[in-house]
Amino acid sequence: MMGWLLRLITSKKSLALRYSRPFRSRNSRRRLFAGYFVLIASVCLFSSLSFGQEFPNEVINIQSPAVVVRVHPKTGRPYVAITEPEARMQNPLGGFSKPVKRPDYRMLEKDVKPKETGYEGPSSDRKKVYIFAASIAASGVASGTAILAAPAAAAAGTGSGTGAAVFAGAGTAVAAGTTVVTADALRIKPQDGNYTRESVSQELRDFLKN
Amino acid sequence: MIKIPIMTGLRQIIFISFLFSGCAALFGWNIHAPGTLSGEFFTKVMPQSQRVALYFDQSLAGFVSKNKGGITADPQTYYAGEALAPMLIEGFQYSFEEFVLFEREPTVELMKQYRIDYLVAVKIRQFNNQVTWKGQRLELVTESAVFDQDLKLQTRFESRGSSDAKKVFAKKGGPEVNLNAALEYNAYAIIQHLQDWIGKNQ
Repeated sequence: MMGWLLRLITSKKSLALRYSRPFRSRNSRRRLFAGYFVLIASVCLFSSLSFGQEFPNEVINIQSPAVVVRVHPKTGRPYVAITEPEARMQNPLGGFSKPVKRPDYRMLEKDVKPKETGYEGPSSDRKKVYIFAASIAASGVASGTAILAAPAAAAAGTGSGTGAAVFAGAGTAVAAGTTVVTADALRIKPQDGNYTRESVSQELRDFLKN
Repeated sequence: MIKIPIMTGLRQIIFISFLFSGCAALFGWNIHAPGTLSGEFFTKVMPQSQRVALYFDQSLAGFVSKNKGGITADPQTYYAGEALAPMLIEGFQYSFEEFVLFEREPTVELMKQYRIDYLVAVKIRQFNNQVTWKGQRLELVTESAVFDQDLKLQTRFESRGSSDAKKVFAKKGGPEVNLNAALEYNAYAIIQHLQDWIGKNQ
């Protein structure tokens, strides 16, 4: 067998020797390229068929629900999610940019300031409340709209800096108006004690019967 | 005869601009919680070796409450859902060693294919807010249903998480952290109940 192959290669009519010499015609060059193309295509085709059968991998059918690894939008920790194939690329809870600092609930205790706990999370802009209250005070409107802003001042207490100073003016405007009685009637008695929290769970047996 | 004072100059401009621009949009509190659990959660909950799936529909993640907690309180908008969803995921991730989130409706085939023992479906029932002169109490009530691998209802429970604090609005980030605390205690109640129930029924 080997001898036959060697003879075939070294013989004058063999393809290898014929095409190892400089090309003499355009037709022979075309035939050579066509031969290479057919050879490469057939190798690719057969290898893909045979490897596909012998070494199956865990490719998930595109038509079935997709199992994806999502990144938690706040912590960046990955988790497994089962989603629709068309929704696999987009996390419905949003993307992750950087880990959010965990809140410290000591901040909710009466005498603890946010700076002490190093809070860096979101906060509402209180300025707009005070600007509105100041404008009401300036315009002298002591109606129901003005009293709407009053509990914020009470809840805001004294530790609100310049905002509180502006709001103090609004409080005077309300007090000077005709709605003082209403404000007193609506005042809720301050509760004793500090920060309290509750976490309760109970079984709903009536649902099980249905 | 009642005399109506005529406003002039700057006062008039301010009053008219507030009147026509929509005051409610100009003042009020848009409260977005941080949406992460505090360090306290991880000290209270012990992880359990169980494969548990969580499911909630998009209405939970988009839940918004405009309950201002009293007739005299400022308008407040609480974006509770956008914070609760990641907090539930984080809580379940930590509390159960194998956690799967269903972003689509679960089916029996999927439950069996991925050998998921329990599925927990959570929905919001109520969001309570009470603003007082001294502080604020927020409470979230959720309802959870536990299903087995055949999606048969096993148990259903209601969870309440609340946070009551003083001088909330005086502190920068106070309402946000108070909301976060109420949501976290709710998530804690769900997970504790679930872990106890699985422990008893295994």
